Amino acid sequence: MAQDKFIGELEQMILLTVLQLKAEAYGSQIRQYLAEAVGRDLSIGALYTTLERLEQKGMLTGRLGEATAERGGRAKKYFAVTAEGQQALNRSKQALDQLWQGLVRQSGKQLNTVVNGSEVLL
Amino acid sequence: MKQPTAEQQKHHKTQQSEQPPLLCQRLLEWVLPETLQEPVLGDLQEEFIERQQQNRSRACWWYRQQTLSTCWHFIYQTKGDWLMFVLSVVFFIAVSLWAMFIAGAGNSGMFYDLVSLVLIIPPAVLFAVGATSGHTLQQAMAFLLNPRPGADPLTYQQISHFFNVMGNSALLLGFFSTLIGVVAIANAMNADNFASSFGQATAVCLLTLLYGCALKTLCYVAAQKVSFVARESGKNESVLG
Repeated sequence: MAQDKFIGELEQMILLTVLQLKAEAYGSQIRQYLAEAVGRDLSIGALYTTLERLEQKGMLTGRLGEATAERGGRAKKYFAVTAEGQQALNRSKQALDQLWQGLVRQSGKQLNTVVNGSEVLL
Repeated sequence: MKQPTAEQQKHHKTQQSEQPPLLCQRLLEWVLPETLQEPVLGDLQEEFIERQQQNRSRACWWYRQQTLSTCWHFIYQTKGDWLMFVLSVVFFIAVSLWAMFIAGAGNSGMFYDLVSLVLIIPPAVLFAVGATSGHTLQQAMAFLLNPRPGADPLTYQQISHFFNVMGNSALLLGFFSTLIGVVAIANAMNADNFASSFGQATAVCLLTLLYGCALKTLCYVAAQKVSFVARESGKNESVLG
């Protein structure tokens, strides 16, 4: 179903972070990047719940990497965005762009009413 | 059993003093799905070590917060069955205590008697161990902590048998101890001391029956849980019946 292909805000943020981090996309790095870039301080539990969900949807793939001493000899789990994940991101972006452009086309008065003076954002 | 890797051995030697709170690690290992234990615990430890270079107590506090939050996110997924089982037992105990409080008009002390408790619980456990084995007792306790499917049908059968024997023994011991009390009361009773010997003494001798019934109820629920998990595992539908 087409409506199943849209993803939530947190899912979008995580997919975009994984794309930006490329080969270094594992839990701790994703968490820290999100906190620094957008001020979203997720707990590791919340992050992995979403990562697991995205993996189940086929938008992410995960693979276990090397174990290091500073991790207590435990392996990292690296994530990568799949083609399906990239399509979902594009689809969500297009949908949001279209909605924002719809607002821009309206009159300034209506715009102020709707978004409370957020022309700066547009 | 999995042997520790060279990396793990190196870690144990060099960083024993920098470990995150052990209890939190054990809790996470218990709650997290097996596939996520390594990455999540590793990520937390990596960040914990970074943080503790600035302030160890803050790092420990952060680790505890992360542990609680992670448990909150995963406990229903991995331990949902266990959680419901524990909640039902807690609810039963709470309602029983409330009923005792109401029945005793605020003085529920009349329902507590250590001797009666000793007459029921230790013999019931011993009878159950005697009828099964010490190993079955360990398996039963492990099942109560982590009742997930996957064991073989014989194990489920033995655990179920353990709870059945313990529950039935508790009930029978309750009757037996009550009868001892009744005999003693009847023997001591005469026309002069009827009121004093019958009232309070009867209440005390009935406590063993009360404790026996309570333990029987808990064991019944535990045995039913074993049957359910056994059926859920899809391996031994015919074994437990």
